[in-house]
Order: sequence, then structure tokens, then C-alpha cells
Amino acid sequence: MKMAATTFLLIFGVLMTSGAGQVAAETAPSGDNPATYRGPDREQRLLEGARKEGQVTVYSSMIADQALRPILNGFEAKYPFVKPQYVRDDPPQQLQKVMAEARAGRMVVDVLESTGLEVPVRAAGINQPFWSPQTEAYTTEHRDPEGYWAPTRFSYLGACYNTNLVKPGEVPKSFEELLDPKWKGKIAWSSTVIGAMLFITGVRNFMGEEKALAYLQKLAKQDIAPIASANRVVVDRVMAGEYALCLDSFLHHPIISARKGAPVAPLPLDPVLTVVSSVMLPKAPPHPYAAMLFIDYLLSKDGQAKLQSADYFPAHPGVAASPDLGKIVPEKIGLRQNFISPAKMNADLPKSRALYQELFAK
Amino acid sequence: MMGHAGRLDGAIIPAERGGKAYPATRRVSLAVVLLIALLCAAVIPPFVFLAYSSLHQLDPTGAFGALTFEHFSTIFRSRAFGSTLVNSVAYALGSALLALAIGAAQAWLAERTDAFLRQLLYVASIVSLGIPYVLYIVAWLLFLGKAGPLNALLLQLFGGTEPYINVYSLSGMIFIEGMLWSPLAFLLLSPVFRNSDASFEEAASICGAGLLSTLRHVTLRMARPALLALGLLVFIKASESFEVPALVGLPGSTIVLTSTIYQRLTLDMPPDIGSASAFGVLLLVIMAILLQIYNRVAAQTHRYQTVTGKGYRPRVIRLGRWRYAAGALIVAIPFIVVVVPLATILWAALLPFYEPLSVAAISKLGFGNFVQVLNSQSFRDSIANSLILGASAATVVTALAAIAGWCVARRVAGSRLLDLLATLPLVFPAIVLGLAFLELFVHGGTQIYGSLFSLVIVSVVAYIPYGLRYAQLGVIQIHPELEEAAAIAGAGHVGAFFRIALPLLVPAMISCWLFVFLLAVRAVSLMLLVVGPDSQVVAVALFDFWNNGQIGELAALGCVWTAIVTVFTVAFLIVARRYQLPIG
Repeated sequence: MKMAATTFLLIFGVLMTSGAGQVAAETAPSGDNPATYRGPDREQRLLEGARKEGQVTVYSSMIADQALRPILNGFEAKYPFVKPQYVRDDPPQQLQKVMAEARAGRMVVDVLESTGLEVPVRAAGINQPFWSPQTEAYTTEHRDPEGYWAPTRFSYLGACYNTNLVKPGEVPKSFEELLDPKWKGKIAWSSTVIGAMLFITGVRNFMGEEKALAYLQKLAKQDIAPIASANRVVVDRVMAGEYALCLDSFLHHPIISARKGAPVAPLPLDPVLTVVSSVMLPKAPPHPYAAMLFIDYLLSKDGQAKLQSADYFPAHPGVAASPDLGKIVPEKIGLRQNFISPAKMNADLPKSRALYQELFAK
Repeated sequence: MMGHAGRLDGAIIPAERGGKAYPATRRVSLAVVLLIALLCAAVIPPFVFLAYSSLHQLDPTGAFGALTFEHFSTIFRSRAFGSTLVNSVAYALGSALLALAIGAAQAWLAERTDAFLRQLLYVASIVSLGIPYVLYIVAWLLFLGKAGPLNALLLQLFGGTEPYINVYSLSGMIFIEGMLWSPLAFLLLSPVFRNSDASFEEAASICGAGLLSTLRHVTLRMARPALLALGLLVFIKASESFEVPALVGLPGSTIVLTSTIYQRLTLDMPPDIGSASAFGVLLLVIMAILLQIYNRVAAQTHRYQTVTGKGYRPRVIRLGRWRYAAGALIVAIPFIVVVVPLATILWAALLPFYEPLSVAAISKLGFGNFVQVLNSQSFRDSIANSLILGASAATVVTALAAIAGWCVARRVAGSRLLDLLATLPLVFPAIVLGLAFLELFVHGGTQIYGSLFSLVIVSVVAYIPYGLRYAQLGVIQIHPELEEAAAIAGAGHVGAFFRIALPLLVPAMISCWLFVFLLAVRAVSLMLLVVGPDSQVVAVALFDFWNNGQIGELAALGCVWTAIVTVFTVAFLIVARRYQLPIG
């Protein structure tokens, strides 16, 4: 045993001391950092650097077959010398991964695109500020003054329903009508941060704490089925007829599926929960030039046009939503926006989660 | 050649068990020291990192802070912990009983009766071994779901508006996990029924006992130790399983220990690594106790050996008019275990978006998902990664196990420690081992996090215990006198091993290789936390597809992958059968 102990200590010691070298090579703060470089030859530098790197890895929470793949294909068509790779995850899984990478001192991700991660990612010291000439075109209220993130797309959230199970005359028209006992056991939502928690934050934001609590208590009596997956999956369950209604769909998802013939329709409820998703740049991306080149593309009119044709809502003020999506843009259908900023989403999360645990988690 | 004589009729003769301490030197050879050092380096650090994370605070940047017992005390104080434990036990027990019942029924029908089409049971079990867990579970979720064909049928038959079956429940979990293990239960139980001495049953029927009475009082009673050991094995496997708890349990809020760990890591922001690690440590302790019990029970099984040197022939029971009923059962079981899930998956793979079975949907069928999957570089990469991972892990494990297994079976000096180290990873449920390695890679200063190489390390550690068992069984069948002869002729330990033992071990090692390969390519929870974008593997890709709502692509990739793995499974069984090796 003594021998074993010595051997172990020896090996373990080697492992631990080599850990000292892990304090990751943080980005050089020199003026040459492609993240913040503003010189006239910026474009030239990015292209040269990206050509050498030849690769970019994007983590995004956009649904792969709807939006993420078209954007990556568009990028590759424009810059054929950079091979884009992607990983699609929900925001909490994305956070788990980027935190693990940052702690390991081995970043794999070059570009992080997500919803609601702006605050925790910065708190964990994972990302760095960046500058892209494209950001100038965006409205200031949807931008981060310090440049730690830039807006990529808007999302309008609301209910959706199965058109075979809910007859035209029965469709609920308001938050109150969701409380009708006939829907008991027939409603689902995603039990994730971007699902139920965000729904609760939204309700709190427009009703005020007291009314929101009373409303949520009544809603809890409807036995809402929690699906531990992305909001998109909940829409799939509604399409499959497992549930009649869902509360927290990204409203463009049912439109996209309905066009393929699925029995599902979006149901925006006034005021419409609105969030912005954003793009972030890690401190030590393995391909810093390609990363900036991709961010430029994603924020450009070209990249945003891919979102438009994918039926997502471009954040670029110069790129309108596709005509089909007009029926869910709140301003166009006479509904109000219930905008939850990244900071608010994060600040309200603990209480919304506590409410969820108390009222809805059995 | 007593070893071979013993093996042919299926019994391990106790005297052969440990082998002789040949040649009885106490000198520790260099090979053993190196092997012990290697295993220490691979097996001990995950334990240390898991324990360390469970006892330290973590700041928002993910660095370790002060020592704390809070992660544990929070668990014990929480109201949910009790129900989590109850759920875990109910789930594991239910799954074990169901798998045993289905497996034993099949084994009895196939081995002891003259029912029709018995071979069908083997074919179905073999095919089912090649289906990835996630695919199998998803198939059942679609089939039994609220909008699935079974609920639709029940609503047609009995009326009403509410679906009759809720698959996202504890009973749904038990059903699917039980189904998942039933083919293995069958394959492991069939030799037990095959080899039990028929003279007891004949005596019973001479004394006037009927078919059922004989079955109950004699056949099943003789198989009891084997049933108990297998039941315990499935209980342990279900306790540490992750796929069913995550895919079936979480949506229905039926939380068990393994799914709690995943929840702490992915539903909380930021991930609560301390609490997840504390749960991991608790689960390790539980597994250690269960495995101890299992070893005791498994050691007892040979007490009921009925195959002796005397004339022995298993009796085939004539079922008479029951023959047709049994035949129907033999068609029905594989139908439920294999055909239904595969058909459901194929249906999903051919549809642009999933919808229930209907005439209208037939017009939408097409190969779009297959085209998407086969044209995508990332899917082709994940298939290649899975194959590389499986092959590398299997090769390393087989090589290590051959040497370690020989040392352990021949009791060379230091072999006790070797045995302990190589068996230790068994106490790790896959998700906990994944978490422990995540912590190791993240803090260990190695730059291998997220690489395919890191997945190979994780798999080798996870599967070395299985490899060792194969190798030991292989060595036990080789009588030491062959090596003694070599020693007399002047060969040393190393020479005797390489010139004599190794060539004789080849069949056992081939089947060990294939077994580890199959385990490694099927693993989901082991890889889930350590996989990176450059090292995506099929099993994890399938899991992600389900969570991201890409059911069509999941089904298409799953079909392609099942076909590939089935080829390996068939190869495995051909080898295993030819050399009469135990399966599992």
C-alpha cells in the first residue's frame, strides 16, 4: 500500500502543479486585438487573420435547421476559406459549457450567440468587449454601451395552439382566458430559464408583483405540464397533439411549422413578451480574427437578411421582418410590447424561479 | 484440460476459480508496478476532484473558494431529497422486476419448451442491443405519448377525451427502462435455464406436479440465485442510469438522483457544481454498498449448480395445446421489444415534422431527413468520432485488461491492489464519472478538455472493470500447467504470458474488445458533460436532437447508426457464441 500511495502522490503532484500553468493566456490588451481594432485596415487584417485560422466555432441557441444553418451557409459562401462549425444548445447548457471551457483555460467557442446570458457570462469573466462597424446601425437602447454584447435578433413570445384541438371560437384571447378550467391539463410550457421563468418575469413586469402573484396562483391550478427542453420542443408537442396550448413559444416557431403543414398557430397575448438575443466574444477565442469576421457578418444587413428569410426577427433596424411574421409584430397588430432587457431578465430570475418552485413544481 | 471440460457443460468448477499461485514468487515485477501506476493516475484523480468540488464553494468565475459542508447539508435539509430517494428506489426496483419477468419468460420459452419460432427471440434481442438508448427511449415516448397510436387506439375503443396513458410518469420510466434491459436479461438467463438439470423436474412431474406447479416449485426455485443476482444487477444499472430519468422523468417531474445531478448543472444559472458533486458523492456511496451486496449474492450462485459430471441433459417440456399460445407470446415479445420502437422511429425519420400515424400523413413521407443527415459534415464527423472513440477505448481496455487479468488470475505479487484499482470505477454512475472528469479536465491544467482523446480516457476508466472480468474469465479457462511447463523450459513471467497465455486468450480478448466497443459507442451520460464541438459523438448528438426538437434528424441519424452498430453486435455474438463466452 505504501508503494501505491507514493505512486499516487507522485502522479497527482505532477497533475496539480501543471495546473498552475493554466491561468489562460488572456488576450493581449494591445491595440492589435482584433476585437477592438478600429484602424482603416481593419477589414484587411480580419480577412488575412481569418484566412490563416480557417475555422470558426459558433455556439448559438437559434434552432439549427431553421436559422443557424442558413446563416452559417451564408457566411461560408461569402468567406469560403473559413469553415464554420456550430453547437446548438439552450442557454443554460451554453453557460455550463463556456464556463467549463473558461475554467479549463481551453476555449473552444469563438462566438457565443444566446438569449439571457449577457449578465452571467460577464460576471464569470468569460467575455471581452468588442467593436464592429456594423453595430453603429443599431438602436442604442438595444445595445450594450460597454460593448460586451450586440443585439442579433428580437423574439416575441406568446402562446400557441393546436388547430385541430382548439376550435376557432374557443381560442383564448387574453392572459385571463387561459385560466378557464376547460384548459386544465391541456397546457404545456418549457420548465427552463427561457421558458416558465421568463413567462413569470414577464407577467410580474406588466401586472406588478401583487396582481402577478394572484394570477400565477390561479394559473398553477391549470396543472401546466413542464417540459424540460427548449421552447421549440414544447411547440412540437403541441403540433403532435399532446397538448392543446403552450404558453411560452417563440411566436415565429409555430408560423414556420404551420407553413410546412403542421396544425399549429401562434397566439400573441397583450402585452407581448419581447426579448433581445445577443452575440458575445470570449476573452481568448481560438480563432479571434474569424470570430470578428463572423460577428461582422451576423450583424450586417446580409447576415440579418438570412434571419429575415428564416422567419426570425432581425435586430437590424434596416432589415424588416418577413411579411408572414407581420401578424405577430406587436406594433403591427395593435398590441403593446412587454420588453425585458437582458439586465432585467437576469435580475428578476431568482424571484421568478422561487415563484416557479413554490407554485408550479410539484 | 479440466478447464475446458468444465466450460463445455457451462459450469465453472470451484477449484479452478482462483487458479494456483504460480510460480509463487513475491517479487513485484516492473510490469505490475507500471500497470498500478497507470491505473492510479487514471482512476484516483476523478474521485479526488469530485470530493473536492463537493466540499468547496465556487465563485461566479468557477474558481474554488473556501471549504464548506453546505452542499451536503442543503441536500439533507431539502424536502425534495426524501421523495428523490423514494423515486430512485421505486424506479430501479420496478425496472429490475419487469426486466427479469420478461427476460425469464423468454429464456424459459426459448430453452425449455418446444414452442414455435424460438430462434426469433434471439434475433430480436441481438438487434435490440444495437439500438442506441436515446433512440429506443424516444421511440417509446412517441409511441406511448399522449398523441401516440396507443392512446389513440384506447380512446377509439373506450371513448372519452383524456388520454389513458401518461408516459411521463414513474410507471412510464419503469416500463421503458425494464424494456431496455429485458434483452440482456434474456441473454444472461438463457444459459441458466439451459443448464439446469432436468431430473428434478422429472421427479416433480412423477410426483404428480403439473406444468405450472413444476415451473414454480422447481424450475424457478433452482434459478433463484441467478435471478436474484441478475435482478440486483439491473437494479444497480437502473439506479445509475441517466437517459430514462432525463428524457422520461424530468418532463413529468419524477426526479431521481442521477437526474438531479444533471438538473443542477443545466437548469440552474450559473451551474451549481458544488451541489451536483455532493449528489455525486452520495450516489457513489450508495453504489459501493449495492455492489458489495451484489458481490455477495453473485458469489452464492454456484451453490445451486446442478450440472455435474453425471449424465446431464436438459429436458424440453412439451407444451401440448399451450404450444400455440406460447408461439403467440414468442411473436408478441420481440414485436413489442423491437418492432414497435423501430417502426415508430422509421415513421418519424420519414416525416418532415413529427405527427401521429394517419392516412393524411402518409402523403408527406420522404427521405428529406436522411438526405440532411448524410450530407451534413457534422453528422459524418460524429459517426467517425464515435467509431474512433469505440475502437480506441476498446483497444486500450483490452490491452490493459489482458495483462491485468492474467496477473490477477495468477495472483502475482501486487495483484490484489491491481484488482482493486481496476474494479473501482464500477462504483461511478456514468453521469457522476462524467462530472468528475469534467472537474478534473477543468482544473487539472491539462489542455485536453473537449478533445476526442479526453473521451477515450473517460471511456477507458469507465470500462476497465468489464475488460478485467472478461480477461479473468479467459485466463481461468487456461490451466496454469501450460505456463508451468513454459517456466520449467526456462521462460520468465513475461515470456510465459506472451508466448503461452496471450495466444490462448485471443478469443476472450476479441469478445472483450467488441463488448467495450459497444458500451463506448452507446454511452450518453458518460460523455454528455465532457464532449466538445470537435469531439461530438452520435449518442450525445441524438440526446441533443431530442432536447432541441429535431426529431426527424434524430430518427434518421438513429436509423443509420443502428444499422452500423448492429453489424458490430452480430460480430460480437458470433465470436461470443463460438467460444462460449458469457455475454455481459
